Amino acid sequence: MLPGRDINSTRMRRLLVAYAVTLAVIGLPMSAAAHPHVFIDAVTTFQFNRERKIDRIALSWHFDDLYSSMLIDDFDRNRNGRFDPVEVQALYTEAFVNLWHYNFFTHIWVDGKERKIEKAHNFQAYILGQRIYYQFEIVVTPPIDPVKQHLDVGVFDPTYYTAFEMAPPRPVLFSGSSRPSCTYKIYLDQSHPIYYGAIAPHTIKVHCANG
Amino acid sequence: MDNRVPYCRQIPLLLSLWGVALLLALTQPGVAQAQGNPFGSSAPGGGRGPGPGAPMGSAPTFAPEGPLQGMHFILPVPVIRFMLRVAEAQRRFSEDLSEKMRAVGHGGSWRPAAVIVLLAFLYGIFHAVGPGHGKFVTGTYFMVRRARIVHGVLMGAVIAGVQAVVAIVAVLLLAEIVQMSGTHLLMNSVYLEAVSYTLVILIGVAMLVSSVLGRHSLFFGHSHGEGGDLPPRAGREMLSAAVAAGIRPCSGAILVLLFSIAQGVLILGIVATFAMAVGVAMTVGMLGVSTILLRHGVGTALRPSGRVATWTHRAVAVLGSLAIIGVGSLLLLGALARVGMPL
Repeated sequence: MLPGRDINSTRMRRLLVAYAVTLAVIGLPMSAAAHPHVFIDAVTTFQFNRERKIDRIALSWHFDDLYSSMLIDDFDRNRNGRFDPVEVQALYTEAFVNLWHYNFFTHIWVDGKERKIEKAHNFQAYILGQRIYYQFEIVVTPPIDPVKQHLDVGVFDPTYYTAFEMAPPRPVLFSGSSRPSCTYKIYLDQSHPIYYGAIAPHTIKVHCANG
Repeated sequence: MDNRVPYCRQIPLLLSLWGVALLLALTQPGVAQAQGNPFGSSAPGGGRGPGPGAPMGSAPTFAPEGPLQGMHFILPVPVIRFMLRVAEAQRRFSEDLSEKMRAVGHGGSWRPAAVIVLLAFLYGIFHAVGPGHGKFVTGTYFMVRRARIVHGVLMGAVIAGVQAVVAIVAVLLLAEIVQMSGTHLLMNSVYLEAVSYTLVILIGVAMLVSSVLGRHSLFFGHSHGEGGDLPPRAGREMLSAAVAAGIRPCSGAILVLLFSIAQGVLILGIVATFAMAVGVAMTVGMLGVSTILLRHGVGTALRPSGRVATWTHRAVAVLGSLAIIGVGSLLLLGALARVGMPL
């Protein structure tokens, strides 16, 4: 208590700042299953119909080695190195359908409003090399006209159990014989933070123009 | 009181270490592009977001994390970029680890084993960087209770060690003996989570009771030398907190163990799990030690005396205990809400 008061108060101020920083760092950690445990590379394909509108979004997920190995162990039941139709069906009902609760990790915003995804179509699963691929489609109803509407699509797991990455080298594709000319931008989506604000997903913004 | 100065000297040091780590991540936006990262084109704030009208939690179908889901809170972009980098590093270590482990399983040569241990250790360090309940318990505990540096290190070690042992036992018992599928094993680990969070809540309650009763009326920043300055029950309380937090196995360790079984090198998986635990222990321990130092530093700087000290301490202890109870409850509800696992 005896040493100079002014020295003390500077130090005190410094320490209080430090204390606040630690509070911030410690106050955050509240997640149940911390950190990503699964890594997926995703390719998103926007499919145009004859009216030059997007009526389907096809997704391709490429799983990491550890998780692929586990799924192969669990679902390649006859051990022939590939998923037979009956095994794909098992994978679908036992592992994939549950993703409905998580919007199939696909978040579509049309003019800033999120579309709930009711169903994923044409689910397929493949073993290529040591890795598993999922492929499925989301039917967009009503179809989106990206020339007139703002379209943002984020592929992410809100719990961050799975970390998604945009698969290099071409994470976003456009398909359909009759379509406007489109480009996309991938941005750090700060309006949809996940993992208690410690992570922002990467979201695709689609720009299209007739021409 | 004499050891006040050395403690205070270490605080700026620790903080600068954190700062340097953050700065490194912060000042290299170009590196990611050079490494072929497709995210390079991201423009923070540049892109018009989907609008504030659609916070994530508003979608009623998102129930994965239960009650915490609706939070619309975001850390500064540099921190997020740092976290994304941490995730990238984890992925790299994980992929290298599996590749080496597969090589041992196929080739029979155990030479990559040393590399595997190193990779697992690094994976552990990075795996524990993000928010997690173990760090929450550690941080809050040491903010509430006075402890010695060594306790911070021990807390990290016990949490990580228990986690590793639980993961190993769970995999041996369920995957090897009961032949449960990996998918189900991961799904069922939610029950262990629930047990862990329940214990965390109970410890919070115990801490609250002893704080209110004033059994822990320790003065801020006072240190009476080596022995006898902590109450007799402190060790037990610390240990229970660490065990409670650690009883939930880490999914990452379970995946590594399952993979090692698939490759026929379970022993290597067990070794890697312990190596991961050392990494996790270092990150969690670092947080524990930092909190202890800061608490001590603040106590020394404020140097409250007599009744002020007693009441300040008691208030902090009560708030901290309540935080542990509150967060434990939210985590428990979240775990119970998760019926299946994501994939």
